[in-house]
This record gives sequence, C-alpha cells and structure tokens, in this order.
Amino acid sequence: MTSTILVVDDEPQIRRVMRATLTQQGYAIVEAREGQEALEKIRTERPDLVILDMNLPVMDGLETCRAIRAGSDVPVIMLTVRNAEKDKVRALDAGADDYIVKPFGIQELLARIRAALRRSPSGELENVVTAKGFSFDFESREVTVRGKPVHLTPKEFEVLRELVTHRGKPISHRRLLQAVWGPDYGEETELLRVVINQLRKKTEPEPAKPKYILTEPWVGYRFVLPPDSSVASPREES
Amino acid sequence: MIRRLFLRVPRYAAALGIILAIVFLYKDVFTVNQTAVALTFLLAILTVSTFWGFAVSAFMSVIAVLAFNYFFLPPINTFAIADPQNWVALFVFLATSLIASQLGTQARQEAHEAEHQRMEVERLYSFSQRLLVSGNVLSLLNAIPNHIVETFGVGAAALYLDYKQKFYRSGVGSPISEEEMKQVTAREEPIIDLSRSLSFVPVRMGTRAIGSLGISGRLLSRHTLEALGTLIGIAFERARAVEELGKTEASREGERLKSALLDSVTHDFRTPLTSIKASVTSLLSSSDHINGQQRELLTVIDEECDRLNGLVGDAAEMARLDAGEFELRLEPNPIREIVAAALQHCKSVIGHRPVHINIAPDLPPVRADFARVKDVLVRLIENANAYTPRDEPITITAEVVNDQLAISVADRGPGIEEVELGLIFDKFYRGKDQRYLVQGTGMGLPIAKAIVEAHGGTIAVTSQLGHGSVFSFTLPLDRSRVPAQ
Repeated sequence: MTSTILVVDDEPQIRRVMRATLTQQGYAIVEAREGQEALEKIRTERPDLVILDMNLPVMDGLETCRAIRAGSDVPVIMLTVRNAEKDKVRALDAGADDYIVKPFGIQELLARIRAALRRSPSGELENVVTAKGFSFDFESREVTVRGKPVHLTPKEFEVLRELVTHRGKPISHRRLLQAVWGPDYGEETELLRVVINQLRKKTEPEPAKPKYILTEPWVGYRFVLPPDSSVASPREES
Repeated sequence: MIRRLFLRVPRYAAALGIILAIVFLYKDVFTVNQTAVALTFLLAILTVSTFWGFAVSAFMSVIAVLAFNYFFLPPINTFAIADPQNWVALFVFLATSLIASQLGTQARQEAHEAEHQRMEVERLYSFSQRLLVSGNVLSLLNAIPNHIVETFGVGAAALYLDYKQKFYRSGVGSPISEEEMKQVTAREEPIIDLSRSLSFVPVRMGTRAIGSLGISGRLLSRHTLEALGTLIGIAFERARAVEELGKTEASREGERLKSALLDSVTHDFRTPLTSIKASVTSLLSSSDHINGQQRELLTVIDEECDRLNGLVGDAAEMARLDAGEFELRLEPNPIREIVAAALQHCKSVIGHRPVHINIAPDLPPVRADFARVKDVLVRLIENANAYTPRDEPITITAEVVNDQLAISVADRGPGIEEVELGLIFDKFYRGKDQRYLVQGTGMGLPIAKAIVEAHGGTIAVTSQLGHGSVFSFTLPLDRSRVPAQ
C-alpha cells in the first residue's frame, strides 16, 4: 500500500523537488502552500505523514503543527534551519514527531520518513525488538546485548523502553522525564544524563562513542538500531 | 581718575549743602537745644556714609564740627569755645561722627560685596544651565566662550583644550595670548592680571588640568573663576560621556541590524540550497542509472552546495555572536561526550586519519553548552585536518589545569609563523600560504574564540614551524553535585 505524504512549504522549488524525489520512492504526494490549506488537505486527503516547513506565511509552522495535533495524530516531520536549536525543541513540543535541518540530503529525509511511518498506533502491539546484537523484550522486560542479558534498574528500563518505542525519533528531555519520572518533572536533565550514561555503559560497545543512544544537542536523545532490525509482534502485522 | 573726580565733587558739594541746610533750619526756623542739633548732624553723616562712602562722610564730619562750633556753641558766631565742657562735647561729637561714618561705609561695602557675589553666583548658575543644554562635545566647546561673554558681560573669553591643542574664542577686546593659556594649563594655577584686566584659570577634570580659560575686559573674583574652571570641566566630561554612550548604543544597534539582515539573507540563500541539495542527493542515490563521470559531477555539486551552506551559516553565526544575540545553555557536560560527538560529526572529513584521545576517565564535567562546545571542537578538528598531511595523527587532550579544564587539539601540520599567530583568531584572516590551498571561510577560528569567551574561557595557539600547531582552550569546571539517582 502506498503511503501518502503531504508536503507543506511556501517555496515552489522545494515542493517540486520533494514531489519528484518522493514519487520516485513510491510515495503519493499532496501539496499545500500554507497552514490553512494544509489543515484542509489533512481532512480531505488523509495523508499518512506530513512534512511541514517551519517558516510559513500567515500561520507559521509551529501553529500549524498544533492545529494539526488538535484534530489528528498523523506523523509530522518539521523542516527547520541550522543554528535554531530552540526551534527543534519547540517543534517537538508543538507535537511534531521529528525534525530535519535544511539543507538536507535526501537519504536522511527518507530515513526519517521511514522511521515516522513505522510508528505503530500503540507501543503495546510490539513484543520484541531485535537487531544485530541487540534485543529488547517489552513483556519479559529482558534486554540482551551481543548475546548477554543486561541487568537494568527500573528507571533505566523505563527510559530505554521510551526510547526504543519511539526508535529513530528524537525524544525531548522533557518528554522522557515526564514519561518516566512523572508529570511534575521536566527540567531535571541531570537525572536523565545519569541514567543515559548508565544505559550506555551497559549496552554500548564503546560508551564514549554511542551508536544506539545518540545525544541530540539541546533537544534530547534518539535511539537508533542498525538497519537490519526486525520487529516481532504477536499478530505479524506492521 | 578724572571721571572719578567729577563723580565726587558734586557729592562733597551736596554734603556741604546738607550741613548748611541743617544750620539754616535750626538757626532761623526752629530753635532747639544743642543736643538735638548734634544728633541731627550725626544722622545726616550716617546716611551720607552709607551711600557715598567714608571720604565724603569724613569731610562732612569736619564741616559739621566747625559749623556746630561756629553757629551753636557759645560764644556763637565765633570759633572760640568758652566752656571747657564744650570742648569735650565737640571732640566726642567728631569721634562719634567719624566712627559712625566708618561703620556706615563698612556696612555699605559689605552689602555691596554680598550683592556682587549674589550676582556672580546667579551668573554661574545660568551659565551652568546653558552648559547642560549642549548635547555634543564639539558644539559645547564652541559655545562655552560665547556663554561666558554673554552671561558675565566680559569683553572676550577663550577656552583652550590641551588634548586637542585647540582654542575656542568669543567676544572682542584685548587679545588673550595662546602662550599664557598653555602656561596656565601646565602650571595648574590661576593668574589674575589687574593691570591688563586679564584672568586665566585652569579647567579641571578631577584634580588634573585639561585646559584653561582666559577672560579679558572684566575681572571676575577668584572664586568665580575657579568655579568656572570646574564647571567647564564637568560639562565637558558629561558631554563626552553622553557622546560615548550614544556611539556604543549606535554600534550595538548596527550589529543587531546586521544580524537581522543576515538572518533574512541566510534564509533566502538556504531555500535554493535546500532544493539543490535535495535534488542532487536524490540523483546520487538512484545509483543504477548514472555512470562514473556523472557521479563525479553530481558529487561536486553536492560538496559545493555543502560548502556554500557552510559559508552562509558561518557568516550568520559570526554576526549573531558579534551582536550578542545568542544563548548559552550551560549544563554540566562530560568532555568525553562532547569530544565523541565532535568526532562523530567530523567522521567523513577525517577519513582514516588516526586520532589520539588523551582524556582521563575521571575528569570532572565542564559547565558548558554541549552543542556550542562541540562546534568549537569540530572547527578545531577540521582546521587541524585541513592543514595536516594525510596519515599524520591529530591528538585531542583534556586535563584539569588551574581549576579549569584545558582541551587541546594538536596537529603535525606545517605550523604557523609567529607574525600570524596573533592574527588567526581575527575575522576573515587566512594563513597566507594556505589561502589558496585550503577551503574555508576564515570565520571558523573567530567563531570558536567567541564561543569559548562567552563561556568565560580563553583560546590560544602555540606553534612550531615545521612541527605542527596546538590549539587549546579552557572551560570552567562544573562544581555542582550531580543529584543522586
């Protein structure tokens, strides 16, 4: 089944490139020039993913993202510019699933699109996530790295679960803190750092050069798996 | 002198007239006793002394004594005195009238001086108000001599400023010599020359003389002169401070404008770059349909696109740092993590070059903005990489030095000449031999410097020609305890 992608950007050349590239990759493309039009297209075309530019005329990208979230949980990838780390956090806070910095290579965009589309409606559907040398079992709470079981504290397990559930996507400090410690948390990035350091020591072959748990400067963390990962779920659907 | 005499003669005549009038009044109109006559004389003398001064009233006293003796003391109409008691009376009368004249004159003089001082204070006040109105230094300096001539009614005024070696003049009258003004400035002592009615006073700022003021045509009191010197000094200092403040404000505003302009230019550059980058990487990834030559050309487009993007980004970053429009997110960060992130970022640039890392595992964390310090390291690593022959290693070291963390990036490049060492952190400076060999924006090191300094650290380079260079910077250590889990 082809996924439909809504591209929201006021620059016609960018829409052209996106259409040409993404169509070639087998996606169906819908375009919108600004926020209102995007909201309308989401209602009428029901896209599987939205690529949303941060700088839009009239209603800016963040506002549009919030408006989208008010009525839909379609995955949103925001296009931001370099040196605007604050924008990334704001994009995630506004409900975006991921961001990509302009100008970007198309492979990076495609990887982000795949990660966003892979998002399952609910984390409960997954049972085990496995990849070369890494396995994470949601039910038995067992984590195996390079064939050896790893013992995690409850907090470490919760943080890793949150990251693995949203693997490939950046999770902001605030969101991780609130998911694991509770709604009163949000600013205590040191707590998170300690747990992440422990997790890296226990799972990474080289903790100083992490390859699973990546730091997203200013934003948070992103969990990535080597490309040959597979997901086993009880109903064998994806 | 002649004029003074002309002014005086009628006064003496009038004094004489008053005595005669009193004599006439008591001789021919009413008859009163001698005491009443003497008191009337005294009253007249006292009155005259207050208005016309001691000389006139002393003259009047003598005339009054003679008239009293001649017309009222028996034997009348002679200067002879019969009763010895009357001699005493006459002398007491003379002494009293002289003392009274003296006192009256003194009172008058004091009143006059007080009045004079009041007027000078008033003038100083209005002068100081005029000084406050002048906004900039130049118009103030030009206006001061004018204000003095107008406010104090002097003939001419001149102001000399030592640091500018310049004179500002106003009014007409005997010329004020430049030589003397310089002398007064150097000696820091006022000069009052009565014969030429010239006065000079140093203009002071604090205790130091910065110039002098010369006034001709009218003598002002020493106090007024010194007050003038101080007032002008203060006004000058004030105007200069206001001007400096304005300049700083304007330059900051200029930086802000530049940064805003660059932001918009950056956006306008990035949009086409985004289309180009997306297009060319898309073509490159559809590898089945392109041959080797096409791949090479597309790769050139891709790389140049990145370079252009880097240039635009660096220009915008530099402008933002200059304008102070950036925010540091200071958090405790282990330097190992930042170095790892920087190396990750530089992975493709470094290729297979060996990188030695000397970082002790137990180093305390630094208090720093992760992304920006990573940016500093990336720039230093890329710099080392660009200037070092292939296969020669780059060494990254971190250690605690003097309660700070010192991080250094060492290469085995050609080294930097001494004359260039001080320049390489300047904007747009490129090593002179390397300018055409190495790609770069010339903004990498200045940006690194600005970021390190914003953290309260320092950045420096040491180099040995032919052996390599070491760039090192310091960051503050984080002393806050990490909360327990």
